[in-house]
Amino acid sequence: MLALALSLALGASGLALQDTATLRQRLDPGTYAALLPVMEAARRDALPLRALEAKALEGAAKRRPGVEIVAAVTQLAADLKAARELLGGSAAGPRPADGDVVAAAEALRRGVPPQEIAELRRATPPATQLDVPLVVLGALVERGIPAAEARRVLEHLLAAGVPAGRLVDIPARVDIALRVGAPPVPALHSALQGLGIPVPPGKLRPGPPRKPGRPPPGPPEPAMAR
Amino acid sequence: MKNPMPPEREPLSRYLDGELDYAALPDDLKSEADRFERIVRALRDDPYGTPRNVRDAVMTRVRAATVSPWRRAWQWARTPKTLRLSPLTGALALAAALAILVVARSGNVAGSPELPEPAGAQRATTRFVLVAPQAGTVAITGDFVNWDPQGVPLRSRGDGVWTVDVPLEPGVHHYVFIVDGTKWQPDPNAAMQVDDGFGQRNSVIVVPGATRS
Repeated sequence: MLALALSLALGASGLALQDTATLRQRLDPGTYAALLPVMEAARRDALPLRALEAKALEGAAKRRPGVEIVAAVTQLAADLKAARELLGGSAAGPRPADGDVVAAAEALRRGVPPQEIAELRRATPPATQLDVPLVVLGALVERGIPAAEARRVLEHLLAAGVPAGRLVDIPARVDIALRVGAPPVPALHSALQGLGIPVPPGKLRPGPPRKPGRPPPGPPEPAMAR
Repeated sequence: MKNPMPPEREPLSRYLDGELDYAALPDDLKSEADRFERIVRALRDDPYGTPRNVRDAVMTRVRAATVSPWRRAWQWARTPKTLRLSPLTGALALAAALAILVVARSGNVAGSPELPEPAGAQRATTRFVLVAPQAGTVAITGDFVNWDPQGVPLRSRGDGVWTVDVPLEPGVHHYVFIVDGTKWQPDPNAAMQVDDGFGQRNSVIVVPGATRS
C-alpha cells in the first residue's frame, strides 16, 4: 500500500524531481534558485525542459558564472517559445515534437528568418519530422545561402523523400565547393550533385556574395554515425 | 614463559614440531612419540568420543530435516506478520524510501561519467575522432552525457589520433572535446557548429532516424 502510494505520488511529480535533481547537484544554490522560476515558466508553457536543463548543465560544466547561465537559459527559453509558435504549436493545442522546437530555435539563432521556418512547417505534412531539415537549413544559411533558397531546396528534398541521413551530408559538401571558390548557391547545387541528390527544378538564385568572417569549418568529413 | 626442555628430550620436541623425521629419533623417545600420535589421532577422529553409529544416525535425521533456503523464505513470506512502527519510525522509513526512489529516478547525477546505454534499436554508435598529437588526455562531453565536466575519455591510437565510440539517440546533439582536462574545443571535423550561448562554439552532430514522439 505504501509502495503504491509512493509510486503514484512520484508518478505525478516525477518529471519535476527528475529535472531538478541534477541541476541542484551541479549548480550553486544561488544559480539554482534563480533558474527555478525560469524552469517553472517553461514547464507551464510546455517547452522542452530537457534542452533548458542541458543548457544550464553546459554552463556549469564550462564554469560560467551563474548570471551567464541564467541569462543563457532564459534566452533559450524565449527562443524555444518563439520556435514553437512558428511551428504552429501552443501550450493548449497539439504540440510540435520537442526535437523540432529545439532545432527551430537553433535555426533562429543561426540567422534563419522566422517566416522561412514557418513556411517550411506549412509546406510539409504535419507528420514530417523537421529537426534534421531545420538544422541543415541553419547550417546552409550560415554558409551564405539565402534562406528562401535553402528552404525551397529542403522542401523539395523532403517531398522527394530524401532521407534525413543524406540531408546531414549537405553542409560538408557545400563547404568543399565554397573552399574552391564557388558562390553559395552554386555551391549548394554542386553539393546536391555530389551527393547524387536530384537538384530541384527552377532557377537557383545565386544570392549575395558570402560575407567575410568565420571560414567554413575544417575538413569535409564530419563525425559520422555508422 | 617457556618451560625449559631437558637437552636429551630436545629431539622429541623437534619431532612434534615437524622439524625431525621419526626415523631420526633416538629409540628411547620413539615409544613416547608413538603415544603422542595415538592421542592426536583419537582427538582428531572424534573429540567427544561419540560412537560412530550414533553420530551417523543423528546426521541422517538432520540431513533429512533440512529445508531449502527458498522454501524457508517462501514460508516466511506467507506467514502473516504484525509490523509495529512508531509514528517517528514510520516517517523515517517513508522518507528513506522516498529518497531511494528519487535518487534512482534522477539517474547518474554524480560520480564518473557514463556513456549512454549500449546501442539498441534506437541508438547509433558514433565514432568521434580528434587529431591531437601533443595532447596527454582527450575527453568528449555534450548533451548526451549531461555535459559531464569530466567527459568520456578518448583512447589514443598512439599516432596522435584519439577516438571513442559513443552510442547516441537519434536527434541533434551538441558536444565539445576537452584536451588535457582544461582546454575545451569544438570538433574541427564537425560540419556544423553553433554558438553555445556562452561566447564559445559547440559542435553539432545529427543522428538521423528519430521517430516522432
